[in-house]
Amino acid sequence: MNNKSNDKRDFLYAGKTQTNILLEIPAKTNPYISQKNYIHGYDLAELVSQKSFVDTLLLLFTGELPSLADKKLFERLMVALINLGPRHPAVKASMVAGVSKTNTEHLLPIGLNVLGGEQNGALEVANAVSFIQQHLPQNPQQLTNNLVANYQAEAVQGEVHLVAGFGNQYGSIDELCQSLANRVFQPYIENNTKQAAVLTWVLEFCQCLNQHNLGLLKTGLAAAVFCQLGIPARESIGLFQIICAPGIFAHGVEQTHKPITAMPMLADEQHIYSGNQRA
Amino acid sequence: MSDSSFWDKRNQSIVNSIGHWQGGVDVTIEGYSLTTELMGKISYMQLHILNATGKLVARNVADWIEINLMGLSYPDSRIWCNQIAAHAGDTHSSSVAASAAAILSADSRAYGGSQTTFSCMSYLQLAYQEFKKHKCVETIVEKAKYKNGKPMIVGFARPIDREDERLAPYKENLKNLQLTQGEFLEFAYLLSDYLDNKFNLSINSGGFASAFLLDQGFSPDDGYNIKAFCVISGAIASYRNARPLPTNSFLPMKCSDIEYKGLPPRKIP
Repeated sequence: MNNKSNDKRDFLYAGKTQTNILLEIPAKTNPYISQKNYIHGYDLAELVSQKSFVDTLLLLFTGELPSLADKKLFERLMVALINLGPRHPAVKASMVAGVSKTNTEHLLPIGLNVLGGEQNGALEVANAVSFIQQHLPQNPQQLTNNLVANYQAEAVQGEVHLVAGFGNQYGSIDELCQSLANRVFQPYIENNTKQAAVLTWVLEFCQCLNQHNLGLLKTGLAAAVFCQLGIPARESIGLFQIICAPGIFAHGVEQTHKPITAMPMLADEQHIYSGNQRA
Repeated sequence: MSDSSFWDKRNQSIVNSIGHWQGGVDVTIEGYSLTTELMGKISYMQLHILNATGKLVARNVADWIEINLMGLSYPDSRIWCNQIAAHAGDTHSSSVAASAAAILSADSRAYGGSQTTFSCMSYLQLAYQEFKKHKCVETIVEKAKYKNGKPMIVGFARPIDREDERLAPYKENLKNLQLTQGEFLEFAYLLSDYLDNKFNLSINSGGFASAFLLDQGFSPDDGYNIKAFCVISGAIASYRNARPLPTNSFLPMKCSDIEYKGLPPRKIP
């Protein structure tokens, strides 16, 4: 079949931008002014009076207001990941920018750019969501055995992420993360045993991984909750960034109040050039 | 106690295989002295390519890539990345914020010149390997992803308009700079002829430039790195156009300009 046509344009562009999320009712006096807004059908004014930020955040991404159990689960995750700490690359990036007098409005985007990555970042969360979705029906012990058997540990120097969201941090199990996961997951599992299949599976998978000095990473922690709540991989990228944003900005802006010398600048001998030496 | 020696070695030091700044003395880049060997002797594009790829290419190669970059960033505020820079102008963000936002937005699988160069070079590398194994172009194209009955090959379909105004100056400047068409460019044109004949798709700027970069020995990662900021110039121009205008005047929208397709108003349960 020959698909050749005489159309000059390969794509037909929409006449209007479309959305399922927000309806803006214009004011009678000015078509550019919105008089009333609805998020997924709910009057914003009523949401302000009756619902929390977390309710509305989940509404934005799922299209429905969450149950109390789902809301509490997400809220616990938000607290657990509110501050990745000043040693996380994304937070460090914001701090380095802050101390070097970068415009304050750039601190959060800088940190979020770094947090977008495939290793300990938002893309790892998305990959972990996909991994959990694909492997959920499998027996965690059998899955662990297969993954470990196929993994060539000697080929990797440094941190091992066996699969997205699961591995070690600085060569060890991330104990804080696993402890936080229990705090985040357990109330949900106890009250929603039948519906908590994802969280239960993730905890079992982690126990199997622990035998190999591997376990849950913070990206996996987020992914588990997103999967449990039915949040897809692509949406999980931005939600992870949103959840981690407060700590990134708090540490970054803290440094802006200090002199540029308040963070270390390595000496020449601490920056080792290992590249080509030409005569 | 876990073995933390890997991290202990890096705890208070940075190992850099690309370069080093010795304050007040000199800067080393891939073994070259910035002050005595590079400044005043090579072009900025040669230096950028050296930093991005580790290769100090001949001036004429860098000059052609510079011409390619001229074709990747127009001062037209409709283009996605430029529109974003113009929005930054509308909110009076800084020109640097506008540029950064535009560059990020062009890190796209659909357009932009950075990621698309990586995708196109990766495809051409694999396709040419197959071709050298005596597979015909038709068989090679059959393996591509298809959408609406047409193969989706980055570099061989332009999202806005089919005729690519950049190809003529690219070819002309190859000659002017005494550069010859290599095996990847030859293959790319073979592929283009087939796609044009069968699907009304043909090589565009990205396809041409990707083949050129492969002919010069660059990898797809090199291509991504070289072109990381390639949309910056038109973005700044679009920012500059919008920045002096009154607030909310760049492409203002009425409420009705957005088509709401979601649920009708409902009561909170």
